[in-house]
Amino acid sequence: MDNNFSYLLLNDQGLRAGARGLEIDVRLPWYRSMPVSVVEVASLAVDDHPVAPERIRFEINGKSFQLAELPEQVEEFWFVLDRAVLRVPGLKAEAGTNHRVELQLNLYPPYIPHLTWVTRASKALRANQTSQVTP
Amino acid sequence: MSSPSGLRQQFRLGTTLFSFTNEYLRLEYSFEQLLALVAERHLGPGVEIIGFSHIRDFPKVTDQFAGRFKDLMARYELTPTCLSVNADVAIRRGTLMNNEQAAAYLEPQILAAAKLGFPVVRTQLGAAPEVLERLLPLAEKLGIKMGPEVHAPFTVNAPVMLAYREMYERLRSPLLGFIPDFGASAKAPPPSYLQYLRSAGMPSDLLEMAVGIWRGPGDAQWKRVEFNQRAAATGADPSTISALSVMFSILSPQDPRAWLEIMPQVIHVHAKFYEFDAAGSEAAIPYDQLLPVFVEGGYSGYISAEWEGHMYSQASGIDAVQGLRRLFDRLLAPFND
Repeated sequence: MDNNFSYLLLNDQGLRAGARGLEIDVRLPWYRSMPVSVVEVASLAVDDHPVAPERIRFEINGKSFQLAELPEQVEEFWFVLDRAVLRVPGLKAEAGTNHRVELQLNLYPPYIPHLTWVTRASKALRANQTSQVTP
Repeated sequence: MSSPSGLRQQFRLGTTLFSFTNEYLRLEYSFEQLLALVAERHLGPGVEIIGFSHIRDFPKVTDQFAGRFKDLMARYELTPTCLSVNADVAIRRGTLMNNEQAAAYLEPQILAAAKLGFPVVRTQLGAAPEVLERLLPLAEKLGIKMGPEVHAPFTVNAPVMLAYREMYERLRSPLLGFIPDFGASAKAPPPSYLQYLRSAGMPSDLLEMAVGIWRGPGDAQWKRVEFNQRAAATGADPSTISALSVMFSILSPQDPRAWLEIMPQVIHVHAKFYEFDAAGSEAAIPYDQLLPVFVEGGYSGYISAEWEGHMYSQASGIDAVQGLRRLFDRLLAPFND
């Protein structure tokens, strides 16, 4: 079920398609900034197709990580108002088409040992064209 | 007419910006706009902030940020009361920092408090008594009071709290204390929270199980574990269990008079609240009992209004804090005539 942060997780302007693959903007489902080490992308599906974790990159503060690298990122913080990007290289979508994105993001708040904060969102998003930026 | 007991209110009021989490996360109010809001709506003069919520790159605080913050506080005639810091001892998943590491993690946060002019830092249980003891020389140098929040599911007599009290007894420093959170003196889960869970599709058997354990006998900390185990055994979905389990971490029952035991060591207070009934009283937390206890105890620090309804509601934190201030006005009038 949704929690009160589910509405934040995905946003209507937050899907882009282009040469770098598919990009999904993600907001942090908590009230304070979190070290990236406690962020877990538990599952991502696009149009009902699960995306393998190895294919997903987590991008924040101008840096790009494989999901398996996240637990080590104890110095990297996700500021509570910032958007991180989930990027799936090689996944294509036509600009202007709609796609259902389903995401489960788990947080392990580092000051509440043993709590797993599970947030899910599912939303039909319209793919925008990636702007021409250097990766 | 003065109060029958002749007691007077000595504490002062303020707000933690945590109350405005909905407005802040929806990008309706920036940090600076929230400070202006507190001044305009007369929700101060005390202002509490959360380092990791309101300051980018915290615990790093630039000279420019600190200067701007102090200017705004002066312009709005507000007073910095408490900086909430975090003991992120589980920053490496599956492991916990040792006390030396935890102290090193908190040190820059205490320096940040001093730089911003906060006289108090709110710590958390991850910073064990030995961690505060290690930090005391720094706190003494800076003149900063520090202490853990006494938050649900813990009581003033929980073993973890007794460990602090023993250390405080030994060191007898005026800089070491406690920050009561009124959610640890709740009488019930907030009705609006239960309504929210029902409308979000929470299975009624699980909800009844959670409320039953919450209201039933037993140590509040044990209840949380008990619920998680019994809920998992039903095969319930993890996101469902997670949404309910929060009930045990935000609210727990304790006699309001229990705070008198640690009153001389109270350095700040979180007036946690969720919703009001038709008469304007808090539906889950007995303010009519709690505020007189803090008057009786002679508490003279700040009490921050702390609305936490944003855990389950998109409602306005601004309206909520204004509602709490009206309740305070009513309940405190006998002690101010």
